Amino acid sequence: MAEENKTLKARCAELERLLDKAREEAKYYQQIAKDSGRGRLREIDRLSRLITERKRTEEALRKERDFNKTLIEASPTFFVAIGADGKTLMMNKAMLQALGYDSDEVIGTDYLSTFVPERDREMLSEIFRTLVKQHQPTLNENYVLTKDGRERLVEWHGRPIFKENGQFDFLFGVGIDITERKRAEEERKKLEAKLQQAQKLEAIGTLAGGIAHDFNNLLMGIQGNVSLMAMDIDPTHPHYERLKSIEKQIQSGAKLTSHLLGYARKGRYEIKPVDLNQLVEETSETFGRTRKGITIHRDLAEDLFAVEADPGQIEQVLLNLYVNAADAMHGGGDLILKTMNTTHKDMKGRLYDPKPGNYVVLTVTDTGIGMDRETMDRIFDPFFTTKEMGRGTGLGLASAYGIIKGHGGYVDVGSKKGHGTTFSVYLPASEEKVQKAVKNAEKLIKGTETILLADDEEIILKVGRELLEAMGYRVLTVRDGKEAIEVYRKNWDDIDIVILDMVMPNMDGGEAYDHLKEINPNIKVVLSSGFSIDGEASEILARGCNGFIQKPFTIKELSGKIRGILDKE
Amino acid sequence: MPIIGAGVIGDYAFNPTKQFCGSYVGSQSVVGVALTGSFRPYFRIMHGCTPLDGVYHKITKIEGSALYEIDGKPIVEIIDKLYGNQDWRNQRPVNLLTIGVNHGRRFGRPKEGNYVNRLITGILPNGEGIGIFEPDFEIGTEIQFMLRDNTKMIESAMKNSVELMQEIKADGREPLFGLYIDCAGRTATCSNTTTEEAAEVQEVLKQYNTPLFGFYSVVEVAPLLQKSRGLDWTGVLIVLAKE
Repeated sequence: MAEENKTLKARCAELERLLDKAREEAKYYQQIAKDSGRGRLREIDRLSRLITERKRTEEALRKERDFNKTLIEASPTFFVAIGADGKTLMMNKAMLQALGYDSDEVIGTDYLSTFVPERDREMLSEIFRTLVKQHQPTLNENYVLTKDGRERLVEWHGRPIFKENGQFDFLFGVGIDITERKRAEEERKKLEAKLQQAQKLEAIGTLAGGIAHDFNNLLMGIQGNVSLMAMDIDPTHPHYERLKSIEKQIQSGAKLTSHLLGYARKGRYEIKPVDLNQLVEETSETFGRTRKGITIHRDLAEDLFAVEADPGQIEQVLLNLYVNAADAMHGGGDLILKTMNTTHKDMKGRLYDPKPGNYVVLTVTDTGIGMDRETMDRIFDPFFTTKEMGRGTGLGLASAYGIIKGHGGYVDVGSKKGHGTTFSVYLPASEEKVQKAVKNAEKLIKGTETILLADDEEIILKVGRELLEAMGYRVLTVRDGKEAIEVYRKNWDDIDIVILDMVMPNMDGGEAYDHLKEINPNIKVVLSSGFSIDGEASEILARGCNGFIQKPFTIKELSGKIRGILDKE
Repeated sequence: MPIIGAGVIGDYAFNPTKQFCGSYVGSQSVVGVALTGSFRPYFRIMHGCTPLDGVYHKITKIEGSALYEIDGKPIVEIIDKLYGNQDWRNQRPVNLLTIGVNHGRRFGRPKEGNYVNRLITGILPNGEGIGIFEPDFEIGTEIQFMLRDNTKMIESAMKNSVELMQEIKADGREPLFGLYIDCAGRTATCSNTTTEEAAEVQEVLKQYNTPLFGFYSVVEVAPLLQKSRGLDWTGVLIVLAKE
């Protein structure tokens, strides 16, 4: 029993020892488990932090990429990327919309053959090559094609993008659609050119008008003296023919100044309802007799509106157009004259904007040599001529242009080299009835009444007095408007008619007329001028002035004008 | 009767939520639907958490869902030692560590399906303990620290999905429809992974040509050890198969 107890105790001790060992081992493995668990946790925590950092970086990159993409997509500017193989890699929304494409239609397409007009492809291809070669950005303008074939002008900033190893990667283009801007610029340039042309014509017109005025006064002095000399000598006298020859030269001079005045729009003075058909028939008939090689065709509208015009000036326009047409048909040809009614609505697409209303149009067409664009652009410029020296003054079409503009009308020209020319003259239609023309007196009519002659030119006063006195009139002379009023106020009962110059120092004819009218509402006044300022002469005539005579005038014209007014009840 | 479900939150302030059922609108309610018919449900509970070190700890101080001490020591200090730093204190919920209760063999090979997993919502404001998602632990409960290994989470999702579908096929049944209730904490954003774990489940069911409906939840409900339980950081996949 004791032995058995001893054995059990030993066994228990052994088991205790084994248990202690097992506990120790359990602690050992527990510690290992703790350490390895801690290690796993820390390792995973570290990895987790790395992933967090990576994700944060990726997120930042994504945000930046998204931001850049948003900027590119929201930009009204064009963005395009073209690969080394010429294929389209990217095109932003603004460009897609402008060209009318969807993104999937353009990616992968050959850029040059799809979006560049054929004529520009080689040039643009060269630009691309240079860009890549020089490694530098470039600026150029070129056209891109829309899906429906229209062209848009784009200002491009191109930049080659290279890989890290220096190899060319792709071409990046940033473009601004300047189609509308260019169009506006061109429109502005055209307007500026038109304005410059108008200012140029206005300046030349003012100059021409001034010259014509002074020249007419000079001619008036010569004409007056010639008339006086011719009155004093017998027609058989050898100097009589010379005097007549001088008169002819004066008439030629007066014609030249009338052209200048026509261009300057300052020779308009006898406005009345006119039948354009009648003027065309008369002038073309006369003209036809002088140019036998020209066949004239008339297609004149029967119900043509009247036009308010100065028949003399319109005749001048017509003759200038006929002469121009005939000169373009050296070996003869056809001159086609056509009139018809029209309205401003049918006059669209011109350089000018016609005022609303009815118009009468006359077209003058020749079968001559025609004109090129450059000539057409300058055809109405004064002193521009294609004729050889001595054959043309360069004033014919310029004066025609000025006269028609002065009548509120328009002139167009259409021509093609070798295919003839057509001038179209538009004049505002009038509702007034046509007045029959009254011929001026052909012979000298004398009188005995008293005339007050007002003019600032010494020679005009001297010659005028002598001419009038030669016709039997009593003449008082004054040098300006104020003096005219003073003299008239004192002698109004004796003075039967006043010849009043339009342009005088101190007080001009217009103002003087109003004062004279206050003194005597029944006063008879003839306006006289080297030119009649557009509108002013008509206004004075409208206020009751009895007539107008343009310098230089002959003694017969003067006598006819004076008697016509004095004898009128 | 197995109950599969999910708990949701309206916002992180835990404000009341609304529930809809037919024409009824309720608040803080449970909505359920019972399915009957000639089908059999197959399901898997997947969390991918494994015991950190296998060491059992006994809860010695707990109040509701606030756990203060294990083995008579402050749990905050124990977690500090595990990490080797205090950075985890800034995490809500704690990223890598959860609390697990093993319902399987005490020293047997750890099985995912035998663990009730509890999320550590974060350190308590007074710094004296940690918060856990459910208040179902008590003094004396033996717990283990579990490691949320995201790689294992994704592996688990894929492995369990495949096994589930193979099981259905092995039973000679035809999978009809899948429902995946997935904890929002398992998303790539919350779990710090580069791929989505739910995409693995999607891919497997796609291979079996089985339509899948799924959503993210805050708490998942599934039968575990003969009882329907609330689970954390878990994916519950149920597939209805034709009888």
